[in-house]
Amino acid sequence: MSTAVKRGHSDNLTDVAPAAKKAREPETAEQRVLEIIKNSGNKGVSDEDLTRACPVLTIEERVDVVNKLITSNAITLHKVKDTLRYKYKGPTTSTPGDANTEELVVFNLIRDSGRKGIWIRDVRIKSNLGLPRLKKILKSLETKKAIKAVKSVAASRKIVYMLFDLEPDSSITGGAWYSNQEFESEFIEILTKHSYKFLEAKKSKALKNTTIRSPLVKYNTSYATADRVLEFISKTGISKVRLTVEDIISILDLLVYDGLAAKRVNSEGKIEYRSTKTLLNRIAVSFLPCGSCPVIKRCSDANQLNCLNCKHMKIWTTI
Amino acid sequence: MSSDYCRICTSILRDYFGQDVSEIAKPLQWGQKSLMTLSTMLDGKYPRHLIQETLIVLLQFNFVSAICNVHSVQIEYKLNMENILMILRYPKYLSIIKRKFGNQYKELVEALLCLGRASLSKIVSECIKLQNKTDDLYNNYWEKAIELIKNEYFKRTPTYVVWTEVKQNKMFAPPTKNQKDAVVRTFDDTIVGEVMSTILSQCADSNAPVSNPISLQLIRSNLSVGHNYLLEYITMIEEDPTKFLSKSYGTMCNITVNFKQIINCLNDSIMDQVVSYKFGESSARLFRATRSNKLLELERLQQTALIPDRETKTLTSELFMNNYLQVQELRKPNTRLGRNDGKSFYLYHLNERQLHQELTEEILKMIGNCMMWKFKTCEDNKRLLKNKARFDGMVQGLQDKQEADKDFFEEAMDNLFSPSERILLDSINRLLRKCQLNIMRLDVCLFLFHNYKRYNETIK
Repeated sequence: MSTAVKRGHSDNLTDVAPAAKKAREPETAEQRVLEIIKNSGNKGVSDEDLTRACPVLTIEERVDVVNKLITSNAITLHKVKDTLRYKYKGPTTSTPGDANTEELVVFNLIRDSGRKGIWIRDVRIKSNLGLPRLKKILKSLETKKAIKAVKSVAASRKIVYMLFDLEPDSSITGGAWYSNQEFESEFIEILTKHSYKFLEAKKSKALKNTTIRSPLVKYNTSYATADRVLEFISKTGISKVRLTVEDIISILDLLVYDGLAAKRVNSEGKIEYRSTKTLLNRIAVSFLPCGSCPVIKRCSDANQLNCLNCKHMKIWTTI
Repeated sequence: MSSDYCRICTSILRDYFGQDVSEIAKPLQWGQKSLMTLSTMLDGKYPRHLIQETLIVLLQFNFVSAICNVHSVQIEYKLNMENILMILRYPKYLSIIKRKFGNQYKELVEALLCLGRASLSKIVSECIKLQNKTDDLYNNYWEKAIELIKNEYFKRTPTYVVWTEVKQNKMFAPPTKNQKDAVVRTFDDTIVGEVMSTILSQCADSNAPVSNPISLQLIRSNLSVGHNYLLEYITMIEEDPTKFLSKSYGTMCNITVNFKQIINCLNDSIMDQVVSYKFGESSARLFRATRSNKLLELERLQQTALIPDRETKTLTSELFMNNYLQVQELRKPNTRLGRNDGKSFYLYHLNERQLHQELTEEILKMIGNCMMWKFKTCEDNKRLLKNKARFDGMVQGLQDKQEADKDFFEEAMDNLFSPSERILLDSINRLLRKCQLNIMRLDVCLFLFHNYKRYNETIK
């Protein structure tokens, strides 16, 4: 494993060197170093690598450049196996220009959390700031439109913070089935109905098709993949949200769980759906009031509660 | 045996053999007993000779079997409750025989069912007597009866008089119909149903989970409809997720019917319908989702069924309280500090065996309730019904002699019964028919449950 990593690393270096040479005469040393660190990607660059890549720079110059870059938040220092490595930190343009150090710390924590966001408690623990101070900082960052607060679906009171221009992760928003942190069962119902309609139409179209005589072909064409259903759904324009194939698959699975559709894996390995009916017409239990009786377990001839005293049975038997 | 089971047996015996027989057979429900014990138990209520007679009648129908105990000199009598329950299935047997063979066969079976067991000549003569046919048909009926024996619908019993026979429990005829219907419903194509029923008719009646292999040639030659696409139809049934058939690929194309699979599918369907009838559509969805995923956590269940969080909780707890869902707790092992984090996983799953047992009990109770009402209605209107029966007998007698016309009977009816009585009679009749119909419907469920249990136990 370690050899693989090393080899990968050296490959990277050979990549870095020509890249650095090719770059059209970087104006300052600062830009050049940044370029090298940027090209190293996630692995980072150690001090030795930097010396090898830019032999022109003296130690003092290098220290100066690196310090400048660190203070300007363009790169960070990481300790990997007892050696210090510089890593590129990504675009720094979103940093609020007039932020003070405390704000910057909080901002960085929030930025690192990415699309998942970070909870205020975690910010407090990691930044070691008092709650009133932290609240003030968050508020100021919010007014600067650097960050935003997003309500999480998992718990209604939990608020997470993330960068202003980021789209919240589906684990926070709950995916397509949530809007404003509320579960949209009506939307799901409509989608299920339309998907079922589509499957039904496909089946009846396949069965009525007189040009095809082979029953097997008819049967196979009555199946539909999730892609086709998605196409149909997006054409109808029911959904304002952009639905993915996975969303449609979960909707079609609902039909399977409702006993309205069957699914199978076709010869190409794709999952297909087809509308079906239940195997039995109407179950015998539903003809009697006892079928839905909540106390049937206690119903007995020796008991006060028996079928002859039962109000529902009396109604049922009067014709 | 559960109390519901006993209750139904008592009701059946009371309906078909009268109050005395059911009372005498009651002590036998709780274990086999000798005649001596039985008569002491019923001492004062019934004379010894009546008890003896009852036992003979029940022996005749195989509802009681005599057991010679090694340790005691006496012969003990055992009540065969399963056979008694089969009475509910008799109408179905008759209709199947009629459909498969024809009316005359049905009449023969009917005669045998009335007799319990008898020699073949007795069955035939009884049948002719029951149907008011002339004696020239004797040979005709005799041949038909022989055919029924060949098809294993009648079987010989070794005990008692010369040649006695009793009808064999033919388990496989009723599902034939159900399966065909189910297939038609799945594919929306009647020809598929024909193909399936042809295949089923070629199956040997056995209790194996998979039928004997049937060659394609045989099916083709027996098929009544056009067989241009026979192979395609079979592939269709085979490839459907229900998997009713399987095909072997070799030099000979053989087809087998997966009886176990069919029964399981039908049972699942019953279960789903019960749940959706009792608890509503959303619960049925949760139930199915749990079944197809085996073990599910609540959160995951909510995500699969896409039902709001709170509603899922209510519905699952409702299902759990009624034993339709089970919960298994997976506890995290205690940490080194000896403290539990308090986090454990709760996994939902089904216990189908238990569920089946419970539903069987419920259905038995329902059948019992229906029979109870039947009995009560008859009991309450005993006098009226008796009069009606006497009147009907009279009408029948007159009609046979062709002495009176329809108007005469209507007039007689008007004179004998008041209008309110006639309305009452009508409603009693309707009620009795309704009860009987529902008993038969429930019996189909019992039949499927019974088969399910058998198939799933033999596999172990």
